[in-house]
Amino acid sequence: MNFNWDVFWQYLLQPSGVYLTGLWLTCLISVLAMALGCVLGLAAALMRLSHNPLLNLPVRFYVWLMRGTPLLVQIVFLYTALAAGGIFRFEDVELFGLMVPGNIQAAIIALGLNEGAYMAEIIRAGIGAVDKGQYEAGRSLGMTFAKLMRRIVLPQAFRVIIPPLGNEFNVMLKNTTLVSVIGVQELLLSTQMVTSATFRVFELYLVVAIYFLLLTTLWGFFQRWLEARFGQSDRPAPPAAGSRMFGRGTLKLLRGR
Amino acid sequence: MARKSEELIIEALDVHKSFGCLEILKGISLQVRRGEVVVLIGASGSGKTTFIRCINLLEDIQGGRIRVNGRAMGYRERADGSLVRDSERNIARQRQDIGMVFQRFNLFPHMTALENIIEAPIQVLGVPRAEALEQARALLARVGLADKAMHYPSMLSGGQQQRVAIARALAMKPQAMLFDEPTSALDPETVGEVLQVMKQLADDGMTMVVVTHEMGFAREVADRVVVLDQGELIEQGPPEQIFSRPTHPRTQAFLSRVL
Repeated sequence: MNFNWDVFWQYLLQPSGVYLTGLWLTCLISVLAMALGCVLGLAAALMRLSHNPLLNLPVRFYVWLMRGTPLLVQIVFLYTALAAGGIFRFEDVELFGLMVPGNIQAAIIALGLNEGAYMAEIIRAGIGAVDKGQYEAGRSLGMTFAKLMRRIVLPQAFRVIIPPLGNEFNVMLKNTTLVSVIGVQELLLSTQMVTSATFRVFELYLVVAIYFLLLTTLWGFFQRWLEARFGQSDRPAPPAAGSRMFGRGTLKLLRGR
Repeated sequence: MARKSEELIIEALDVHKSFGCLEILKGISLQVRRGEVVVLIGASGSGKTTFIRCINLLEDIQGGRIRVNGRAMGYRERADGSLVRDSERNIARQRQDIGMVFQRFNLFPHMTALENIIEAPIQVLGVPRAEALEQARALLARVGLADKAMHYPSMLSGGQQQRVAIARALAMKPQAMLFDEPTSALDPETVGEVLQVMKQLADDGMTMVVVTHEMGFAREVADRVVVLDQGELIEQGPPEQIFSRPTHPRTQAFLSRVL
């Protein structure tokens, strides 16, 4: 068997700068695309709940389109095809003194757009799981739709949304490999670059697989914590925690108290 | 005219309501004066619950008018007298005048009893937090649950949850309270504590419209008992008259079944 343990251990334990950049990009793109997906998903879910066809039809079209075409095609289409067609070209942009290459912008937007469609369905299901009586109670207290959503419905829907949201992020981490096709140097493309110089394909792909396992495992731990903290619909959080999901308590929590 | 509308808190005129082609309310008119306790009784399916849900617009109505404090609920009157559907914000504003207590309590499960009560005053009325908290503690004491402030709804019994729900509605300082079968989902042993709180509320002069199957409560607390049957108001009067000398044959039939 052609397997060099030294190379394997070296790349696993002392990754080169190319690798670390790839790791960093994978995480960054995942988090930003997921954030974009959540925002889009929430907006789409709320629009989808509306009875106004002007609001819910575009969303249905969006979900249909995103779920009906391969993510890889969407990525290439957004970055390469649109530019080739002379419709839109992603340019490098300087943001907060940092150069953000066009292909990374396209990667985040393509992954985020795709994720938004799936999140829309997940959030819609979460909102649908909230008891109708909660709406009536909120309305009878004089709440407007926006307040009712923000204070009553979404915090409860959040508990239902957490487990599938965790799975979505797990998928997102792995889907970032697809943006290697538009030249974003995330983990996979970094690996390909190193292999083309060293020809140690077996060792290096094993290393990249282990890296992804590490990322998804770490996320798994965090996800379990999230579910234990928020994902209980029947059992309330202990009174001491006493925080509302989107209120002061969470913000404190997110800031690390 | 102006004096009369001051007197009347709730004024329903010829209210019609249908679900699809099924007509639930066939023209119900009811006037409730300030401080009056009106109890709606009738067989299930008679439209009592639907009717009080129409009062604060949890259900749309297909015909008739509902006025609260002399103002048309859910509709703005144009100068020529025609009606247009009011904005969401105005409807929300109008609902603040009417507290509602539900059969299934509908407390917010992600908030403690105290948080349930301060939520609407802070979010809707803009009451400062400290003031809302003080008021909420007083309300909890009033319904006998001062020690349950930090409890989540799932940690409370049905009767306790319903009392918190009453306190939550009272926190908005409503002009009138609607009770939709407030004791129907309760264990028999906790029914009494909720009725006790409601009786106290009636004694304090709160305007109340109560849908209930508790004939004892109706007899004791109501100023007026209203009998609904198949979407029609068939009889109304003081409790002793309705319970002892009902005139309508359908009232007699209903009472002979439940008493």
